[in-house]
Amino acid sequence: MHLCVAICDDMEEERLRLSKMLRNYAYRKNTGFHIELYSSGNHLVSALKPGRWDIVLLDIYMDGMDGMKAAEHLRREDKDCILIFVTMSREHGTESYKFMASDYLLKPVRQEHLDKSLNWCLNKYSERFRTISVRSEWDDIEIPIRDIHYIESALHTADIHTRQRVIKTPRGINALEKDIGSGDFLRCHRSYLINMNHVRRMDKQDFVMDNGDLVPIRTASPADIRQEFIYWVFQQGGRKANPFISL
Amino acid sequence: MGTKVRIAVYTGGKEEPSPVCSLLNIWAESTCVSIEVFIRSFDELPETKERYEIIFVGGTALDIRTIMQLRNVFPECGLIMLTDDRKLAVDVYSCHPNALIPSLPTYAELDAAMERCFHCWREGIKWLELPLRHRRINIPIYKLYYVEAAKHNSVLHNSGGTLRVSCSLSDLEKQLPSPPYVRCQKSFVVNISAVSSITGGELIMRDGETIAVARRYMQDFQKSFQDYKMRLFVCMGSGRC
Repeated sequence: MHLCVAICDDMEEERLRLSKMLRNYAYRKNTGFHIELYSSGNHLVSALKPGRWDIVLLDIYMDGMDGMKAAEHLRREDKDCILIFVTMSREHGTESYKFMASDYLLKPVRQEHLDKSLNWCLNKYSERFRTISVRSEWDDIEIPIRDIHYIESALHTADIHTRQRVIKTPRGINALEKDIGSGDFLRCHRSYLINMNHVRRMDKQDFVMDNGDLVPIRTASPADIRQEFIYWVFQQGGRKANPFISL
Repeated sequence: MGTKVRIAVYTGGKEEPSPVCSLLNIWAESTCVSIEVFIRSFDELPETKERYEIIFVGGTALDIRTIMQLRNVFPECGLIMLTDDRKLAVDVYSCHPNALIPSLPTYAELDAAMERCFHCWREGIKWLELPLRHRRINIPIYKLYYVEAAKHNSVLHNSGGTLRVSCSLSDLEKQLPSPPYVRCQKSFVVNISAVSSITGGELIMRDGETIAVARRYMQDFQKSFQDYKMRLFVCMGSGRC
């Protein structure tokens, strides 16, 4: 597991302290953390991109844009990242829930407090960080399941279309589907397996993916596929921005 | 209707039932979720054998130990805190509540909190069974704001987009519960809770869209809308609904 963590605090000493504690945690849990440091809310918001960070540790009292305002921007762009407030004051306790924070740690933060918080978050959202291991042309690689847009079968091999690139693997689509074993994936065609999180729209004969690719819906019983997609969209409870369908 | 969702509202015991109970009933009607609300006291907690999908916890004598105890009794269910206490709000993170809202929440605050424990109540939602190109398809009545007639078909408008089904508006209307779904003209059936205001013979929807109201339906529609607003007013007071 390799996670990207942002630490936003105006005090350098605090940033380094948290960073050290994160490395300590990563070492003990055999987890990889890529840590980015930000010295203000403005600095964090200017670097903000959906899906950039898995975890954000955010101070509240900072010069310029404070942590609450930064959290508002963060949640507008990224509803999924784990947000943990790290602050000296309890003043924003009730307000913090508006931003779907996972925890609210009071300074000075001790290693055991951060450990407890990260343990709970990583356990709760473990499915989000799951990866599969596949053999590509050159070596074995770990692919985060959430990054897969869709998989296309080509004889006994498969092309895995991810956010960044297309990975060719000698494994068949059935084996990959079994390994992934996620309710977010739909076998919409004998040769295609899609990640419904990356569907922009469902048309008459195709799924339109976030990157614009068209993935065909099987011609036999297409209504079953549509029903499965509608049911999945409903299960997301409105978290999926686009859900429906232009039929 | 779907399965009844059991919701417990825990308060101090001797206090008046929280206004959240009546607000929950309005929410359930607006979202077409089948619920049953139980008012419970902390005193009953150790002996409870009941199971709930969601619990609301509030009251003036609330402390972190009681909430911890409650969380241990109901580890799986959705937990929504009702408090204005900032200190308690920070402490209660250790119990991992799904949401925390003021002790006298607005409808929007309650709706947002319920959204965060959607997985606990989704079984309570009613589904429509509708024809779609020679097949039948099931659609949840979830965030379905209005339905529009399109010749002999209907178009469902929900939070995420539209879906055209092969069913006339009058046939579809028979499946929709009323309230909250009310006819406002020949071609539209609207969820009254998605209406923000009525001005000059037009409905202003919460998302900014406008829908004309036919004179024939105006009186009945206005009455339903005023009843809905009045019920919200009673729960939340003026200026908050």
